[in-house]
Formats: sequence, C-alpha cells, structure tokens
Amino acid sequence: LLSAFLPLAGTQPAHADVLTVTATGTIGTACSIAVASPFSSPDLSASGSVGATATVNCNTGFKVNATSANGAIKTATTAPTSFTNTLPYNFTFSVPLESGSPNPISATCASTALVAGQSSCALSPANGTGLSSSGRASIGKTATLTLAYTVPTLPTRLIAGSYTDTITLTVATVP
Amino acid sequence: MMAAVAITAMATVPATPATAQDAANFDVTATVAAKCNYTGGTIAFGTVTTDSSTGLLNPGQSASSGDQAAFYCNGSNTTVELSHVAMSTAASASGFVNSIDFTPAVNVGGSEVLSGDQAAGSAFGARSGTLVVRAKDLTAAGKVIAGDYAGSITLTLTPAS
Repeated sequence: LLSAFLPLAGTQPAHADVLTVTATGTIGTACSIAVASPFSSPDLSASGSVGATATVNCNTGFKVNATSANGAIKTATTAPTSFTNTLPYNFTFSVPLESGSPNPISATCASTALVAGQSSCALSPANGTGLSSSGRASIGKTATLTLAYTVPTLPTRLIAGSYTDTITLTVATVP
Repeated sequence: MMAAVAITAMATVPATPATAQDAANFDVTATVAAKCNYTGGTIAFGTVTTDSSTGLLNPGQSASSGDQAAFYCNGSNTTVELSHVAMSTAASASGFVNSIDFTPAVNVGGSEVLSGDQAAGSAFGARSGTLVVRAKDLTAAGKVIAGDYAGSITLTLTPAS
C-alpha cells in the first residue's frame, strides 16, 4: 500500500514549473548636506579669504540656497565715527556633479544678498531656482565654500571685538 | 502539466514626488584685537615771551607736537592716563622762578578730547584721526629766570575692546 504513494522515477513525465517573480520598487529621492570642514578664523587685519567644505549627497537634481544670519561678519560693539562693526563679504559655493556641463556648478553672492528674504543672487534664500544642478545628481561629492572679504578703506577701520556670522546652506531636490 | 506562478511586488509611486531637503550651518568667527597706534614726539616752544616791563610770562602761550595722522585706538573700552611735569631750568636767583607750568591737552581729528591731567583708567574709547599733543597756557608764579626749560607730557593709552 505504501508503494502506491511513491513516485515512480522514470515512469512519469517531469513537471516543468516556472516561477516568475517580478519585483519593482522606487528608490526615493534623497538630498543631504553636512559640514566636512568648517571655516578657519579669518585674519581681519588685511583683506583675504577663508574656505570650508561640505559633503553633498543628492541622488537626483537639486538646488542650493544660502542664508547669512547677519548679512556680513559683524560685531555687536557700537562703532563710533571713523569705525565700522560690519564687514561684508563675497560668498562662493561650488559643487561637483555626476555628469554634464558645467561641472562643477558654482555661484558667488554678496553677503548682503544672502539675508533672509533676498532673491537677487542665485544662492539668495528667496531665489526659487537657487543654484540649480539642472537635473544632475551629486553623490557624496565635496563642495567648496569660499568667503572673501575686503577690509575697510582708511580712514574707516574695524572696531575691535568678536565678529561672527552663520551661513546656512540648504539643499533640496527639484521634482 | 505546467504550473506558472507569477508574483508581482508593487511599490506605490506618489503622483508628486516628495522633496528631500537638508541644511548645514557654517559659522564664521573672527576677532579684531584692540590696539592703539601712536608714538612720542617733541613740543618745542622756542623762546617764550615775557612782558618786558614786569618780567612775567605773556598769557596764552601754547605749543603743539607734530601731527600723527595714523593715530587710532580701535577699542571701545580704551582707557587713558595723561600726566605732565612742569618745565624747569637749573638756573635760580632770588626774585625769580625757574618753573613754568602748563596744561597738557590732546587733540584728535582737530578737536580737543583731553585737557588737563587724567587719572589712569579714564575713559577714552575708540578714536581715529590726527593726534596732536599740546602744552597750553603757560603759567609761572613770578618773573621767570632766563634759561633752557624742559618738562614732559606722558600720554598712556591702554587699548581694550
């Protein structure tokens, strides 16, 4: 009786089973930026520049905007006649892309154009287009930031004190 | 007999892709040190004038140092001390005095900002402009004896932000 349930090899045709598995999915868009190296402290006794780097990781087209908290490097100390407590600068952001031209993309904006609400420069916070990658990605690339400043022309001088500004870089995917 | 099994895994694709966004802050900090830029100098009266009939100094005589156009103190909390030693000469004679006093003064940018001795720690602040130190309003307690007189003015600026 048991043998009736056993397959009889070679006596029956083999079954050809086909299992088709179709897997589809979506990799979501992602875009991030992080400080790689911060700005060094600028020497304000003479005109010059300082640099910093950021890691950009956007897997699709994206845009970049920048916001300056003070619109300049600034100290809270009040400046009397012949002195100033504000040092404007030019900010340049450059980021390599995976392909295409131009590559890298970059923009330079006056610090005054980076104040909240401004839109006059590509990086300005209210510029809807921003610095656009034109649909291209940047996967784990190192972006460079340059802050160039020119000290005041005599007889105006910088008042002594601690000068600060904070630049906030924002990256966002472009649908 | 053939058996076909199709398994399809589907993911939902939103009609409007979501925007991914991120931000990073970069701080910029710098210090401008407080300092003052000035040097010493000489105030020369030449020959002071006296009233020929009384021998007393004529009033209103003053003299100034050379201009220091590069003067500045950029610290808002800079302090000053200003002191002086009256001019005197070694010669002496009864009925005459051998000391000539004066009022020290400091001009910055054409304006007098200090007049008279100032105790250490007196407020000065941030100033910029041509510096001139003056010895003004010569006075003597009587007839002055002839001779070469010398005194001094000491201006001490302590920069602070």
